[in-house]
Amino acid sequence: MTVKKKVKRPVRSNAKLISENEALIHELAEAKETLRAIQNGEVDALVVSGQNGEQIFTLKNADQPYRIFVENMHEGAASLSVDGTIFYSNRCFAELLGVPIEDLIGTSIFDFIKAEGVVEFSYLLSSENSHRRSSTFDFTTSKNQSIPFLISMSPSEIGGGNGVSMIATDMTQQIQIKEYEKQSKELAEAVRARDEFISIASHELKTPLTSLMILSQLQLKMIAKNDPKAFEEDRVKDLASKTVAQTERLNILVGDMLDITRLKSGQMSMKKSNTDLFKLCNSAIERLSAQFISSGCKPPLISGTKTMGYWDPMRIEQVINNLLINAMKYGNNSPIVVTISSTNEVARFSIMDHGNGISQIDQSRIFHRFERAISANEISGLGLGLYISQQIIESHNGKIWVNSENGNGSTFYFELPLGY
Amino acid sequence: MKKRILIIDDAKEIHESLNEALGFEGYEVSSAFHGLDALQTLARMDDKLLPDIILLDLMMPVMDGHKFLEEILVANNARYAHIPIVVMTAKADPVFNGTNRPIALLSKPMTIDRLFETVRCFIL
Repeated sequence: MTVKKKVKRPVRSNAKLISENEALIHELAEAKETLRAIQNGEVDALVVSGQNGEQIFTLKNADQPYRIFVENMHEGAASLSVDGTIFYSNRCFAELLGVPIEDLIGTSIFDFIKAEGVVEFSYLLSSENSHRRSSTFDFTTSKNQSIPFLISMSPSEIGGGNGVSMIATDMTQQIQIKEYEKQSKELAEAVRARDEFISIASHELKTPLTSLMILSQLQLKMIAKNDPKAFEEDRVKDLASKTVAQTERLNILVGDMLDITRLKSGQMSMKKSNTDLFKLCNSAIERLSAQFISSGCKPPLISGTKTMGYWDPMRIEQVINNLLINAMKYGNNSPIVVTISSTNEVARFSIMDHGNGISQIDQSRIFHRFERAISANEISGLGLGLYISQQIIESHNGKIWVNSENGNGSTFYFELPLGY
Repeated sequence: MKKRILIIDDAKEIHESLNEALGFEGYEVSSAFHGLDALQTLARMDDKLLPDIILLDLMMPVMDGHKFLEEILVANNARYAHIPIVVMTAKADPVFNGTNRPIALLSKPMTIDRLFETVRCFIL
């Protein structure tokens, strides 16, 4: 059996409680004000009453300028224990984190560091290295904003134990400036590439234009002179076929320029249908055979069999044409071999020439827009062919690449998923 | 005797059209496809059969027009000094250094009249 003991509570009237509360509130306000005044350096000395009478603690000693400096500076400053507990924070750091100082003290710095920085931060905290250690960390403020801080730590004793003093510099602006600098560099490069492209494109367009202009004006001159040659059937035919060839060339150049614009704006659509890669290759070679022969090059040998897939035949033929013409341009008139092979999943096309080959550095460049391994002065063309080809192959989820060694010829490959 | 013109250009279609036009005007035209090709062609020629004018493209493989000018105006000066060289180019404003200047510029695409005038003007 238990006996409940009656606890005697001191009896206080409501009025007394209220007045005690008021006194406590007043004391708290006074204490807060004192703290604020000390932090702001407005207090020279404190008089503390004790058993031994009143003692004077002066604050206007050698430390005061430093305290004001740390409190008022526009960088975050804090003292941490090695486990990351915040012992002290200046006003700026608390403001940056969006937490009142009194709430910040005693919490862990890790509450604010983004996950990816935690390991490195604890390493810096516990490092035996007595030198200054610094790195950049992303913090999350109480308002869920992200702030990149450059943190510099130096070891210091806190309350007799090990700890670190830390300066936190808000890097938001610097990082933004760097980002802008990077962007403006990229833009300048894009403008340069575009200008070069326009210059090459206009040069390329002017060649067939010159030929067209001279030939048609010559015809007019001959007609004006009543030159019977102007009306000879063979001559008229020859003129017409040259005109057609030049306008076709102009059309291809303009087509390439349009493709580039379409690719850039993502408007190049693929019209896929059941397509035989082998047949496509044969007809492309056949169509180019006259051009091969006139450039002093034998038409390529082709090996392979019927290889069906679900692709855009016109676009894939464009890629094959491009690779064939490249092999003709750069293959030093050596034999060219085209091979078609396939597995259950992919079809592979390869074209091997025995030209000068492509250096490692150029191999990484040639698929970029406006790039070619040889300078614009050397070979005509817009330098867009491989870039457009790559875009076409990639929009079929395939890949295109080159194996080459300087002096030992090049083999270009592309691989296409069958797409069924 | 027919006046002779050497055309140096890497584009086949330029040769085709200029040969026909200049042939129609009564000139004898020979062709080279880049600077080195032209230097070799010139070196093989008898002094009496050297061209009366050279029409030169700038952007060409192997040896471009600038290099050709350098070679012919400086290195082989004596033999070719008298031959006027006209540059035909699609470049907006080609830059030449002091010693390697052509005698005139033809901007591609040029009209047939401008071509004929230029040739007439500089053939001695």
